[in-house]
Formats: sequence, structure tokens, C-alpha cells
Amino acid sequence: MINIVVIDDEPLAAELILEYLSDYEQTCVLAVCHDGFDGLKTIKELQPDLIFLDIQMPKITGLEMLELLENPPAVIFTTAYDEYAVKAFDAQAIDYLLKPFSKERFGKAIEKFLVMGDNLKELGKYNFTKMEAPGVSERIVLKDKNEIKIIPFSTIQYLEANDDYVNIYTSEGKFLKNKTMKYFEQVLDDKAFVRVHRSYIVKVTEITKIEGYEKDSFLLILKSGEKIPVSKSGYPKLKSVLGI
Amino acid sequence: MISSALSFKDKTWYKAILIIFLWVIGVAYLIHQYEPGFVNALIDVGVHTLFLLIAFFFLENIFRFYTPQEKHFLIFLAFPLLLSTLVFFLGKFTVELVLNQNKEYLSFFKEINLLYAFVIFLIILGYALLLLFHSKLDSQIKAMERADQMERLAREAELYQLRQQLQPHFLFNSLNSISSLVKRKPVEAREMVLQLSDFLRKTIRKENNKWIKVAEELEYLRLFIGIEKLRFGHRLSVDFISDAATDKLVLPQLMVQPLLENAVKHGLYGVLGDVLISVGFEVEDQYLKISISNPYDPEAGQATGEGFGLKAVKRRLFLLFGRHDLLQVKEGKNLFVVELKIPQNYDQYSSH
Repeated sequence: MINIVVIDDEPLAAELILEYLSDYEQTCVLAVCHDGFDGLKTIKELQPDLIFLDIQMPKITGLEMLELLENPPAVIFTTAYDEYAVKAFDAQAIDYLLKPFSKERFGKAIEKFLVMGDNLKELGKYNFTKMEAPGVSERIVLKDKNEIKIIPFSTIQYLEANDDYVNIYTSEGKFLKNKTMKYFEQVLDDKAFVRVHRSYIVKVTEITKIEGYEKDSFLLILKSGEKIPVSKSGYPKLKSVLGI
Repeated sequence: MISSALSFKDKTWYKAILIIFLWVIGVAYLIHQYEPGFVNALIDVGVHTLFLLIAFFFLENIFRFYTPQEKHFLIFLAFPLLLSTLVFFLGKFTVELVLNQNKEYLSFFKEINLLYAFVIFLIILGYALLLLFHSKLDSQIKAMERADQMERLAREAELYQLRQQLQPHFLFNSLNSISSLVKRKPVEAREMVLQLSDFLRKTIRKENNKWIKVAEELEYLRLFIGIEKLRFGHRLSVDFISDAATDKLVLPQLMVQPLLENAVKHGLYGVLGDVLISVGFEVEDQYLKISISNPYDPEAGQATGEGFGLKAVKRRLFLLFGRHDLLQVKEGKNLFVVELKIPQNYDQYSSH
């Protein structure tokens, strides 16, 4: 039996998937969710084998929801936006269905899951946090304690590398996100943020002072009082962004 | 004009010199006929011409920053009058200084003083009229350019509009809904096909420059909302607020719909739960005021690609009315409000 959860904010779209699925006897739909928060909770609770996932949904997108899952199930995206398609594949999805899709096309996606789904899961391929494709949204969605937190890029003060994670500092405090510094260097606006050090990305407008503290090395003093080291390769980058 | 003639870019520089040279020679020759002594006349005319040129320069700079309206005719006369008085006295003073040995010429000069003053005034007044005419022509050309640009932008907005509605977000999702309804609820499916066709036909037929009545616009907006409600009926409700007084007012087409679409999108994707959008039409002085509000979460980051609809509408408003203050955005605690004002006393046919 394949256990399935359908996540789509449009009831009619979800109903269509249910209708198509009714012809597959080996499938069982555990739940239908209408937003990412509900989806997240349901997936954790019911541990489905496969989810059908819409992308544009209230508050957080389907992709952002996936990033928050530790052991995500196999995913088939259903969306009307093909600009997301490449990203969905980067996210190692089984397939993506462009709305509106035919029953035949739907069948192919199910077949694809039957052929490769289980193998992929055992190989641990479903790691959506490794997605390096630049995001379409200007924000970070993460889990803080048991809450889902949305952090707009504009509120970030600086980022600090922390093994496989990145510490995100905002005026509200420190948050942890399982993405790489390289990822953030790509997605953040390079006129507003500078990677001044292997371990630090700083928002330019947060800097109040640049202090020389040894020969050839500098310290940034931020508005919050924090001190950030600048590396040899970081200094010219900083200078060009500041225009000095 | 002087400044443009004095630019070194083209041949006008030589032409200007030539004209001034011929003028000085010509007038000096004329004076020479009445009072023999060509060199004296030449000095006299040369001095006055120099002051005239300086006066031209001042006049041009004054008019560059301040172009008098027709009704302020006295102000328009005041500048040339003042300048010609200055030129006259400076000219008189300089000529008397330079030619102080030449008693004969000076007495002749004294005789025709009044004529001099009058000619100087006429010349400067002529130049002022020329400048005024030139600036009028200039602003006319600018207005034409603006109209031209407006037409092009309107066309672009129309295309953008079509692309918006005919692309994934709206059309594909609507088609998907129809596909979902077809088997289970065929009557509703047909209803949605008809509604969608109606809406698309109305969109395609719209002409950007045409103004329509509020009542007509409302019909179009209701059609759009009807389709959105089939998809999101469980969450979305839209209040239209208008009355008999506003129904008769007019507005340019395709102005409110992009804003409403924005509001729907940001309402549905910005918050969880029910979304109430309100679209109000009001009369405010000489304006039709339209306010569109949707719930939103100011804390959450914005999805990209937004604001374009808002920007396009803002731009169109500027091109139509030449004003930047007709679209206001108010970000409340949980409510995002866009306010649009359409001047009602504006001659809607003048722009095309």
C-alpha cells in the first residue's frame, strides 16, 4: 500500500488528484492539506510514502515546507508555474505535473514513483535542504524551537558559518538554518551583503566602523556592537561595495 | 537661443558672429548718413550691441526659470522694460566716456537719445516675444512626446495585462479547476467555462485609452472575482462598496483590475485562513476615490514579482494626468490598502 498526502490550497485541484488516484487500488490517501503548515504537521504525524505538493500556497511555499522536513517523503509537485520546474528537479522530486494535467500524465508520475521511489528513499536522496538553486523568494523559512519563522532578507544583520548550518542574526536574535554560506552568498543581494570572511556575510548598512587591528587585517564594528573579522580576500570585496 | 547659438558644436556660432557683424556695420552706416564719421558710429553701435547681447543673455536666463503666463502680461513687459533702461543708460555712459573728445558726435547723440531708447526697448521686447514663443513651442513638443510615450506604455500595460491573465497563475489554474469539475460536477464545469470565456473576451476587447463608468467596471471586476471564488470560495470573500452617485463616475479601463488581482494574490498567499478583500468606490471632491484593501502579514518576507502591477498602474496614472500623488499605499498593522484617485474634471478625450 502506498500512503499518500495531498497538499494543495485549491480544493478543486486536490479533488482532481483524489479522483485520479481512485483508480489506483494500491494507493491510500491519508489526508488532504490546504497549506504548508498543515502539511508539515500531517507529514510528521502520518509519515506518508508519497506527497502531492502544490508550490504557491498561503504563507509558505511548498518548497519552503520541504526545507523544514528532516526526512521528507517522495514528492510529486503539481503546479501551474513552470518556472519552478527546474527547482523542483533540483529538489530531487520524483516528477512534476504542470496544471492542468491529464490522467495519462498523472499515471506516468505514479509509475515513476513505483520504479524509483523506494530506492531513492533508502539512498537518502530526498535531501531538500541541499538545494542550491537561487530562491525565488526574498526570505528564509526555518524552524525555531517548535515555531515556524519567516525571516525576510531585509531584516538580516549578518550570517555566521556553523558547520553544516548557518547562524542568522537579526534584531530578534540568532536563528539556525541548514543551508550553506555559499547558498546565501548566491541568493542575497550582493550590493547589500558582503562575504567579508569565510565564516561571515555582513549586511553593509549594519556596519558603523572599520577598524584596523593588525597589519593587513580589519575588524568591522556593527550597529549592534558586534565585532566581525575581515579576511584578506574579504577586504577588497568590502571596499568595492562601499565604493572606497 | 543665444546660448545655443554660442555653442561650438555646429556652424551656428559662425552664423551668429556674421549676423552681429553685419548688424553693426549696417546700423553704423545708417548713422553715418546722418552724422558723418563712420568710426564714431561704429564705436557707438558696437558698444550698444555689446550691452544688448548681455541683456539678451539675462533675459534668456530669466525666462528659462520663469515663463510668464499670458495673463501676467505686465510682468512679461516689466523685464524688457527694466533691461532696456539699463542698456540705454550703460550705453549712454560708455559712449560719452569713450567719445568725450568728439563734441559734434556727442551733441548728435544727445539729439537722438529718445529714439535710441525706443529702438533698444523694441529690440529687447522683440527678443522676449521670440523667447516666449520658443518656450511655448518647446512645451508643446514635450506634451506631444508625453502623449506618445503614454500610448506606448498603455500598449505595453495591455500586453502585460493579457500575459498576466493568460499565463500560469490565472488561466492554467482555472483550467485545472474545470478539469476537476468536469466529471463530478459537469454543470458547474460548464458554468466556469462560460465565466472564464466572458472574462477573457472582455479583457481582450478592452482599449486602454477608453474611459468607462464605475458600474461597467464593477461588472468586469465581479466576473474576475467570480472565477477566483470558484477556486478559493472557501477562503475568499470580496466586498464591493459603491452607490448610485459613484456608479455614474468614470475611470480609465484596466486600472483597478490589476490592483484587485494583486490584493487577491497577496491576501490568499500572505495569510492563513479567511481573506476578506474590500473594494470601495467613493466621491471625494473632484475625484473618484477607489480603495482596495487586503489582509497581509507585515512580518513575512514578500514574494518576488510583486509590486510590478502597482508600479505599472502608478506609471499609467502619471502619463494620464501628469501627477505622482494619485496612488497611495497604506500599510496598516494587518491590512494593506491601496488608494487610487481619478480626477473627474479631467478632459478624458484630450490625450488622444
